[in-house]
Amino acid sequence: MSLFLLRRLGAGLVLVFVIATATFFLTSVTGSDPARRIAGTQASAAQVIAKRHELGLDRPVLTRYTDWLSHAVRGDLGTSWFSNQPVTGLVGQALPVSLSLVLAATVLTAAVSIVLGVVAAVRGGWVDHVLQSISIVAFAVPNFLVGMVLALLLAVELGLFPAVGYVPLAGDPAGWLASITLPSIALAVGAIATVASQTRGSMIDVLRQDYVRTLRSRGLPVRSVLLKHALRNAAPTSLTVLSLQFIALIGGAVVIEKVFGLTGIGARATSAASQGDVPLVLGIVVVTVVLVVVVNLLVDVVLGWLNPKVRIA
Amino acid sequence: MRRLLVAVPAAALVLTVSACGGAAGGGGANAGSTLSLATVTPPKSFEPGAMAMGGPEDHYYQAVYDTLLKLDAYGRPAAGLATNWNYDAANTTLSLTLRSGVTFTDGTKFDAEAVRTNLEHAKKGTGEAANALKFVDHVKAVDPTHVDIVLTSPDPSLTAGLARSAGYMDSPKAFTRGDVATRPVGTGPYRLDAKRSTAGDTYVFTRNAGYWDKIHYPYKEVSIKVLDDTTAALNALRSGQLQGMPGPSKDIVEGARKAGLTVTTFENGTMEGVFLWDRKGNNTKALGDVRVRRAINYAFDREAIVKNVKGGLGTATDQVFGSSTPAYDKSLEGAYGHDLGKAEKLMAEAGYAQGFSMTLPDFSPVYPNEQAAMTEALKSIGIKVTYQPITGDQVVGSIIGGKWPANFFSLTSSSPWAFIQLAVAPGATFNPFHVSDPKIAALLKTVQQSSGAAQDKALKQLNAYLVDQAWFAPWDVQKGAYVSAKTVKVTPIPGIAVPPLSGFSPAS
Repeated sequence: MSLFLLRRLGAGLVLVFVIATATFFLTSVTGSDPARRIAGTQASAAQVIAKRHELGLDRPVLTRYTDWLSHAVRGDLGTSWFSNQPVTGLVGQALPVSLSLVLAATVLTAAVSIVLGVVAAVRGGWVDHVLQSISIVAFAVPNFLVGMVLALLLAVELGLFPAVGYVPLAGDPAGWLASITLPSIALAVGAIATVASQTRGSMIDVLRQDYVRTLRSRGLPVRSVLLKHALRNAAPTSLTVLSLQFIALIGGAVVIEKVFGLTGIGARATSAASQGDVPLVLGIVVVTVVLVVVVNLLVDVVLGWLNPKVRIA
Repeated sequence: MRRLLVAVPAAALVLTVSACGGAAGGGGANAGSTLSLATVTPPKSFEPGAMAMGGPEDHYYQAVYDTLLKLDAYGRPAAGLATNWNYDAANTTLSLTLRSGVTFTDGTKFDAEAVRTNLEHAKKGTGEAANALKFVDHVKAVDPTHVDIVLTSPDPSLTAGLARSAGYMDSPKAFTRGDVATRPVGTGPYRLDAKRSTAGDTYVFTRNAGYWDKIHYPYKEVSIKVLDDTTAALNALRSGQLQGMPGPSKDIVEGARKAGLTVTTFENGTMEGVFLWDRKGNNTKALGDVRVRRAINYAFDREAIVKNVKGGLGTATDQVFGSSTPAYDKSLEGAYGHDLGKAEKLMAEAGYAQGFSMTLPDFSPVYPNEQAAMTEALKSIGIKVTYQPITGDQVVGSIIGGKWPANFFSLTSSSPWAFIQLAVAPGATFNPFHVSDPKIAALLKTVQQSSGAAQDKALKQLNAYLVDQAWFAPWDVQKGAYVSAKTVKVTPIPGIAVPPLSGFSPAS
């Protein structure tokens, strides 16, 4: 298991390096001119040249890259060109926002989709049809649209939740919950549909297995058969899909953060990319890739715990 | 029963969360004590000399900084940190008398030395504010309350600049600390509460207890939330979480009006239309002929453009100087009334009866309606336009580099002289082909070296000549829009992009 984890960790580090390097060069060869944008439309050519020098953009791209890399490996991701704030601070402020959103959406997805998937598989008939139909609709509706409707109805019209903004968990737990409730629901709707369908499918497969029939014939309570035996065997498939959904949710959060005015990783990434704030873009990419690597690693560990065959593979 | 046991706590949780949500977003409850505004961008830098001349970032800076001069209700320079100002006979030394008894929030005294430190630092900056100080040669602290700003040559727009971002005063100690870009220490009405602010997201400003002009800033606290999604900002306003936001487009303004919010419109000092850069005909020969430039002017139906494209957020005009400026001449309005017959005749006289082609930057992703209107008008007189894709941050560089013969554009200026320095003078940033004209050169000299009525007369003559020579094809002077809740009264200043912080007060 240790070797397995070390291999995964090594691959993860290589992935971070490759993606960060690719991002650096891609953002450096766009031909864009962040110095002009920072200096302003009316700044003179001399001022723009001075700004370019201040940002180090008049140095060869390879020099800039080695400079950035040597600082990055020491944990210094540089300073945002557009806000003059340290990138680590900006990412550090945005990470709890996105993680709150994505983790809440994941918990919501896991809870609701497992219940829906199991109910659909066990009940069958019209319940299954209805749940499947709802899943298809939920999957088809874009999450930003769900977000906009929720914001309009529950925040603007009824005033039950804040329409925009994030409240840190530490200072005000109830405010935090209020600030992420609507965005999390909007983000989770599509994922719930996907994971519920997978759970339903794998539960139906497991429930058709001989050992389930044997357990039933031995008189074990239905709840025990379902939750202790069938669900545990159906879980790896759902968990794999859920882990993929977690990563997809990080991507989906970009739009949802905009709809609810949350300054998370996604919102920071889009504004940094559109401005040409290369240090911030790079910082966000590095942190996001690390996050994805860690999540994949955790999922591998949990899958290995659930199914020892995975460890050998 | 079991279902009930689940449902009751769930409902309680939703009610608890929503109750807290209401409290968390309680902008309405704080009305009168906290002013909560939205803006589209965070502050780039609090360092004097690094800021833009004006725009959506103004509120951050106005909260913490005073300017040497302020603007009165008509957009004219008025007393600020300087209570009196006057030029010498040659218009090359501006003498300021400073307000006494003012201190920065770090306890440092505001005096002539602080002014000298700020202006000399700002002049070296890389922002538009520094550009506004380009004629400043040096600053002399005569005594603690008197300063002389010595210029290399007269600058009729200097006082306007000192009433904007070029006049922000930071504590002299701030320049030695190394964090001047993120930690402002001004003499302004508020101080930045760094602990309650989140960079790039929310900025909280608390009252500066010893502020000398409290009466114009009735709120104890100002909170500015960065929201680049206007729908989200509008939702926040409608829910009472925020009290004001800029109205950047006719769609947002219409949406705000339908939602029962207050929309305040004002002339924001921005002229927009088609800027005919290539007056020499270097890139597109036809534009070197004044008859073609006049024909283009006749091709635009300005009233229709303002109505249909701008949703009424503009005032149609044939001249580049706004109606509140001394350069404006009412008699020039209608000089180029929409007249395709005249336009075609002029094109034929110039030898372009069959029209000609131009390649222009494609602004359709940002200005689809403006571009469509321009294309249609040019097509109506036989000018075929091919559009070349361009990214947002390449626009200005490519214009300045002389890549385009013309394009739809907008330019904001603090005064006629500032506009001249931006887009008319031979070395101006937005005179990319460095076009010069003896008559214009002579008028510029007169404007620069005169003052009062003589200067106003020369400005009007220059304006008339620019219109006659069709250096530009202006459409309208933009009307800015600011959307606010009913709890707030907003008073804009003409010529300023966003109503100043001193223009916000409780409606009651």
